[in-house]
Amino acid sequence: MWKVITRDKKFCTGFCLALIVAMILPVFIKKPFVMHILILVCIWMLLGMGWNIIGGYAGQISNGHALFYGIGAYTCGIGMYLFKISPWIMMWAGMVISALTAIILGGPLLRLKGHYFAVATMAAAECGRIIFLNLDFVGGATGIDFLNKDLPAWYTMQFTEKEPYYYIFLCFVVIVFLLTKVMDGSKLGYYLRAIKSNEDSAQSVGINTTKYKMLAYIFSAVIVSLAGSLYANYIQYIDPYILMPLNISMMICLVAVMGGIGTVVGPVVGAFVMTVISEWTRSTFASINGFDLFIYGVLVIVIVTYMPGGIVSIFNKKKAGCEKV
Amino acid sequence: MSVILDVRHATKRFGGLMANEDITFQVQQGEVLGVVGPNGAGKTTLFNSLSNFHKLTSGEIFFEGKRINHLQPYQVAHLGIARTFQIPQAMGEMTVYENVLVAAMGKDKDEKRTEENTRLTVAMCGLAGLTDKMAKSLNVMQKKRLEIARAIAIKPKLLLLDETMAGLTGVERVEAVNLVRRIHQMGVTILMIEHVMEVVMNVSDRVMVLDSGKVLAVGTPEEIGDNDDVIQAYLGGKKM
Repeated sequence: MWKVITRDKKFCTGFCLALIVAMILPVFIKKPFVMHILILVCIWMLLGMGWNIIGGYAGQISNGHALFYGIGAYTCGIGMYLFKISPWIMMWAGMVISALTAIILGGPLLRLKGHYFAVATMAAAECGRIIFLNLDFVGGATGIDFLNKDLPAWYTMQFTEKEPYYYIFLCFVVIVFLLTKVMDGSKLGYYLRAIKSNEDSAQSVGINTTKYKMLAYIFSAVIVSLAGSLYANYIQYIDPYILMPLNISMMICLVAVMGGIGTVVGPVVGAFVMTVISEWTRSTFASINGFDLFIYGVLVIVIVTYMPGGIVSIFNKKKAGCEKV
Repeated sequence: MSVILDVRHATKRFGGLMANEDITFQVQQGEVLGVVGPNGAGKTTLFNSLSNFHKLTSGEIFFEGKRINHLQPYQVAHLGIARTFQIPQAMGEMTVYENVLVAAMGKDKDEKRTEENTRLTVAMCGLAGLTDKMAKSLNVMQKKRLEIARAIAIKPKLLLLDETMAGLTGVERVEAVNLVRRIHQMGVTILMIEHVMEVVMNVSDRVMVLDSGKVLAVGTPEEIGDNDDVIQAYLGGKKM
């Protein structure tokens, strides 16, 4: 596994440099607002990378990943609020529940193709939101406030400073990123790309398309669920409106698409650019109501129009060039 | 010679349309069986049934003595039946090399050997100069060759070729025929649908003629050439 990563020299240097920069960045940044943005970037990176597996590699465009985001967050929230169980444990429980949900949903939904899959997953996420809205023991529409000051911070994963969050999230980003890199060059990666390119010919060379699509859906759900768990512990208050509105599902998709779908680096770059643009416009144009969203929308349109392969396509000019021949 | 593929009373119905009706034939190990017939005779339907891309309405298919018509397409591929598609179904977003590599991966766990096999297969199909090209940028002939390359990369025992010569020029056709011959020499049994009579008569050991979903005649190319029913079906001559 380690060999796969170290084989790609360019990737290795790039990754190490980025990691070093990411590690020492908090030393120079003293503003909590900037730290807050960096933490959000980490969350969106996880979400983007999670979506990328089913949407980017397997080519099944899901518009309902907020469901798994919600499941992850709620598992941690409920665990802390009702049973005082550490999120370090509950996040794994969340991943298992998300995986099971993915299996149950994936069975019927992964038979659908193209737009139908997108619409069906969207509907599934909306169902999830409405269920959480109406379940009283998870707080319903008022949500759960699970801030706990009695237990030690390492146990509750609730810190007063922002740095611990940043480093914990960064760890998970690195793990998921490296796993994606390994998957990219593995049999699973090739099979998923084959399924995305042409399902019929994938079947004809002996690929069990149902099984591999399901695997991709499960992995994707698990990563998004992890991001949900981490985010819940960061904001310490969850309700269905924060976690599971439609635009979260869309944003997850957009992060990966902007960065470059089906690439290892794409969602990471996408998450960074998206979050920075979004937060920058929000703080710069705060005086004019709604203007930030307008600017944000225009920038997204410009990027998507001129870089259909995502932002990473600028760096992959050589590869893009031989496609045109 | 043993029977590799045994089709018994295969019937496929699409609503009111009888695409294949009571088709029974056998393919011998190591032979080239050509399948011909006018448009709409049910040749491609038969291929889709053999590779289980759709299920038979009734009838049975045995491959090496094992009943296969309840299996999924990928399981049939694992057993050793490879197919090409009439309309090339290349994995457009992947390179030529990756297209073949994906197919070869399922057969062999060893990475080095898989890569070696892939390179050999690509070269054998005359695509060596195009390995890094995206499959979607290939022309028709190259796409048809890629179809064959992908099919033989899974090391099949039986290869189903669906009109691999259609739309090729004379020179390209000669190359394609040579390729089919080479694959046959590797010990692969071949079942090929072909419209180009010259190719069928040249390459096949036996020829099967389909018409309106039924088997009209089976025999050596010479027998088929002299068969009155076949001439009737193709040319619409007077019924003898």
